[in-house]
Amino acid sequence: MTDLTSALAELADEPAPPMRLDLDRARRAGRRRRRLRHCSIAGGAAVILAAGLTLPQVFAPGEPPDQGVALPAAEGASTEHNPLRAYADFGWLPDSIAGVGYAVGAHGDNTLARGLGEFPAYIWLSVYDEEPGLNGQQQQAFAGEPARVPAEVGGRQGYWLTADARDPINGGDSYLRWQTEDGRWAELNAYYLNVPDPQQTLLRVAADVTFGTEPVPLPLRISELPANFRVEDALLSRPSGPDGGWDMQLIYNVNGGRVTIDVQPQDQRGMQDGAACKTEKGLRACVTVHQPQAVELDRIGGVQGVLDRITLLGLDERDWTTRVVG
Amino acid sequence: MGDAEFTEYVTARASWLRKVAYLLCGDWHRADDLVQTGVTKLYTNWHRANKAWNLDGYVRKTLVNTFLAEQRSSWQRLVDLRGTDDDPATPELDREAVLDLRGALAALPPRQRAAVVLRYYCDLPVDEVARTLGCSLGTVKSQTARGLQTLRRLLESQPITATPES
Repeated sequence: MTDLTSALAELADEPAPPMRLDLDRARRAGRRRRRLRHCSIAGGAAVILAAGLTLPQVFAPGEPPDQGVALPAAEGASTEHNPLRAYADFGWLPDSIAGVGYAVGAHGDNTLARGLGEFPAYIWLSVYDEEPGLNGQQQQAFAGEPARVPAEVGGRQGYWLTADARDPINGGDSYLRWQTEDGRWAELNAYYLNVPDPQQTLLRVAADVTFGTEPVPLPLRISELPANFRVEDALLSRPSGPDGGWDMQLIYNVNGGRVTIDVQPQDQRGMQDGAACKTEKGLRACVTVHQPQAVELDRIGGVQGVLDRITLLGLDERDWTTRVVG
Repeated sequence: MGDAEFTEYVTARASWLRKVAYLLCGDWHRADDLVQTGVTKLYTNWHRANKAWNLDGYVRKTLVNTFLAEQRSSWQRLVDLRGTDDDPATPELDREAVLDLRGALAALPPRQRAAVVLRYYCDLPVDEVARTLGCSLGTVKSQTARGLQTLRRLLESQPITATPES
């Protein structure tokens, strides 16, 4: 006979890969989430008080500047109307890249260029206000202080982070950092980059990166949301799988519960049904509620009430909007 | 409490959190993502924390809630993308029994799995499990009972013992 408690302990003690906890990333994301709360509250107040008042304050007074991403500055970049913002974007990319996706929120802020297939090319783009140290993943990957091999990106100074100075691209898991024109720092992390000359390819990708906070066009419009809907995560994943496709997800924290809005092409495989779904203009949207007793959607018509606030904009990205909410 | 205390707490408890997360999701990489999310939420609310706060309870609850929420979202597809090639070779010794249990746990519905892990790995009393899962004592009892029943059925060749819930 096996005691379950002992067996679980044995399972949890089995050999494991090195841990990838990144405390710096947790701090950055935590600060942003605090700001999102303030922003959402301010946005809700603006809806109640109607137009004509001063713009909602995006950041709480005294909130320290974020160390990991650019600060939204323009009205169009406000999370009041669009929770998904890109802090930097790619220009030129190699042919093996099929699309660019964006994510902000508790799971980190990313701009990700990705290919297709079982081992698609990945190029992650991050922006920092200051030259970053090593995150947890890098500390584990390098098992010590990595070498910094000088590089020049579009006339600006930078370097490769690598375990072996003779191999700037670090065996294919490559890190390239450079200082941007406004003094911030950018980093590319690329792997599975199946191109003849990864080093030159990444230098060209880096030189064509643009910086600035821009709202990402999304395939839906939401007429209005109650003030207690706080954005937790926003994601446009593109491509979303080895064969292509895309999906979009907005996750709202509502009184400690969670309301998730998923949108993807109607014919795409893998869509999880939510509590309420609808199909419009070739797209399917689903609303899922976790802990409905906390969310208390009754006063806005329940899950169906959330779904009814959504207008889908179709498959043609030219029809998508940066003014998603309101 | 400030950043130094946050770092001190997370450094001390990260390994334990990771084990809980691993038992919940059955995958070390996803476990790391769950811990990352839990720690981020802890930092978000750290300014409210004080010595009287049940930090372990808060992070454990966050971990479980994130795990349950991810079962219904597509996030796991994104967060699994990185770090797929650093699994060390695992020793052969005693692997069979451990893997059987892992497979059996994976067969449980998420809330049953969470209830079993909280009750029998974290050794929490039923009312604390109920607080963590945000449900009634009765629900915890029925979830763990059903979970144990399934585990026993799947692990017929290695019968397990556990304290009954009712």
